[in-house]
Amino acid sequence: MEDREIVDLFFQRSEDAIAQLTRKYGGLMQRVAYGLLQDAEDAKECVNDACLGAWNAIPPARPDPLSSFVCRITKNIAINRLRAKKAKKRSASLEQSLEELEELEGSFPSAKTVEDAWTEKELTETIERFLDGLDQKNRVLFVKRYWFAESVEMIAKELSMRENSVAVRLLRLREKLKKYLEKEGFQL
Amino acid sequence: MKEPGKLWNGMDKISDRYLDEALEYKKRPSSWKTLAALAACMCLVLGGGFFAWKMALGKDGKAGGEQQGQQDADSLQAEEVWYVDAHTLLAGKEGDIPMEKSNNDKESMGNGALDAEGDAKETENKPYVTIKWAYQSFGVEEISRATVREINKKLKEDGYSFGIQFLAIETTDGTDSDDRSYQEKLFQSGADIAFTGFYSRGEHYVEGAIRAGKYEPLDAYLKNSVYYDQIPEVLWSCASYQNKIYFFPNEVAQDAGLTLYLRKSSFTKEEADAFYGDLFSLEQYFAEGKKLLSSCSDYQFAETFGYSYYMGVLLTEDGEVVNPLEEENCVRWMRILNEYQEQVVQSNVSDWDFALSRSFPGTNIGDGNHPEDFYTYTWKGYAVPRFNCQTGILAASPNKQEAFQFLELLHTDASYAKLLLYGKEALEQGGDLRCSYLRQLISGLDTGLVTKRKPGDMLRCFATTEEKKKYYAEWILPSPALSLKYPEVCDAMLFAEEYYARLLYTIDFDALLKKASEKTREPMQKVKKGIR
Repeated sequence: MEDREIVDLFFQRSEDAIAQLTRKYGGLMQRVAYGLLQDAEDAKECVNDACLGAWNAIPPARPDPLSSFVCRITKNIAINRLRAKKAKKRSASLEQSLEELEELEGSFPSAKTVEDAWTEKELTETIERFLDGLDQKNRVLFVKRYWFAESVEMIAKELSMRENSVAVRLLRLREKLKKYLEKEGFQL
Repeated sequence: MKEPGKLWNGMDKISDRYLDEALEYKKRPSSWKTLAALAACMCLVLGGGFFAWKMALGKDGKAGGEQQGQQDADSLQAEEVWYVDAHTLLAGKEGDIPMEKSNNDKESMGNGALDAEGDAKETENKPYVTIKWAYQSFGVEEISRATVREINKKLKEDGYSFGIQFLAIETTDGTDSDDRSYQEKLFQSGADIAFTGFYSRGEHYVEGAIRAGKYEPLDAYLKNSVYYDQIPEVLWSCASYQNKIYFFPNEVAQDAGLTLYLRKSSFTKEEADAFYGDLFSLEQYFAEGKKLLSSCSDYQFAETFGYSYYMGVLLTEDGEVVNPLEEENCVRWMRILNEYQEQVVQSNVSDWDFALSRSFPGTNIGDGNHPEDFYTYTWKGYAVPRFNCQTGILAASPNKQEAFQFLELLHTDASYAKLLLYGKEALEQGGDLRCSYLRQLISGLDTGLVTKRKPGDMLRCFATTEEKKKYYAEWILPSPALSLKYPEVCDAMLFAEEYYARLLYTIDFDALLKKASEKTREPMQKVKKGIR
């Protein structure tokens, strides 16, 4: 079923909307949830909550495409669940990707005044310009690691690369992002 | 959980178009690239050592496997298919949302992919029993109906009361979700023979399925089988779980240890002869500006220090478990690689001078390297447990005896093996017969031993059983992991492999090493506790 048709079902408040949503994107949502939560039961509950979240958001939202919309909801719910449970068992890949960005962030100075500190919006827009400057493969690699928090192993499989090559590329991309942010005058 | 920083939060808010691009991006791998992608999860250890001129001092292998108790009652079940019950969800009920099992919904389970190929019932020669062989279809070329008919015809002519049918369980992109999906579909397929799947390390689907009684132990069948004596005993250990054999060890399970390749145009014979297995003596060549192709993405190099590397930990023969991030020699070697990181190159670079690899380098990038271009030094290798990319018989099969008979036939009769590997059409055309590596995995065959053909540049090929057994007796030691009741507990440390690459390229080695050591303390305790 096309995304547009599924969204129409949501607008009609038809329960079939959920069935169609999970039929098309259930696997993806489960993958995103499990990748962060590393627990099958938690992942299932997370996907349930994400379906409910989609039900509550549509309407008025009319997402197009639907895939990234449900990924976002699922990811947010999964991270909130991790926070709430103070989970000890966490996705290693999530921890690692957080650490890698933290390491990068650590090299930047703190702003001297509140006004100098960048807003999240400014930072997002700058990151987007950085991503636009990459070739597609590198951009996809970066997003898989730092948005989807996928492990190096999974990315290597998906992109048919050696794990070592993925790790090296990510390092080079972080260095590139660092230089880009420095040039833009990023301050924490 | 650790709170995200500003960069993480900024990244989180990027536009949907980047997410969609990442979701849609699928690079359909060639069969070769599929191999590269799968190598990480197959624990593939391949032969080299064409010109070994010295033997490692290596320790004598000890026989592994003390007698353990009976198989534990299954507390772990293979995951079942589930879907969301929309009605209950939207009714806003408190408590658990009931999960209902899929009612053999063909679309959701992809049963449409389970087309019987070469259905024997369609032919004139209807076999008495049809053995179904299920495999994961991702990247594997189809076995033609003509080939299957030919196999069945031959079986009938040779007096067997069974025929074969292949069930290609469709998976699309070889990702983890596909691996999981394959496992779910496999046990509902009604198959007799099963390919265990390309699953990632760390998931342990097969071990869970064995504990749940899904696979048939083969010990009783092998007792009277001529095939048993053809394979070195250590390889049977690799195919065993809790002291029972479950699979036919194929050539994926072949280990040959690490090999050092010194390019003859970059090294003199004297320099080659002077190397006696001490990894640190290679540092001088970095200082001279030489480049190393490092094909290890993990701590396999620790085998040169006498450890067996398995799932993120180092194992000693005394049963000790050591953290590679806190082992003195490992840290020293990684520090050297870090210092000379500009000279440590990846497989897409061709002008390297020496290589440390488990397989012959250069075949990955087709750069025209030949064995005769190198001096080599091979360390002894360790055989470890392997459960992915194996072939077994499902416990639910009503045709276990026939299934075993057919598998035994494939492993002992080249005419059947060749039919399955190359296909009827290729055999009739003649010429240079090539079989994709993935097809070899599905077939579960030691192709060199059965077909007497060199299967490919990467694989070791033994002309006779005796030659193979001699090689293994001399070069391959049983890993202490083979003696563990639950070898999969080691995977609590599998994430440590990610630190390997980061340590090689970090600008602050000591800081990252300290952090990595701290992160691995608790998982190490878990591993040590779990293997007792």
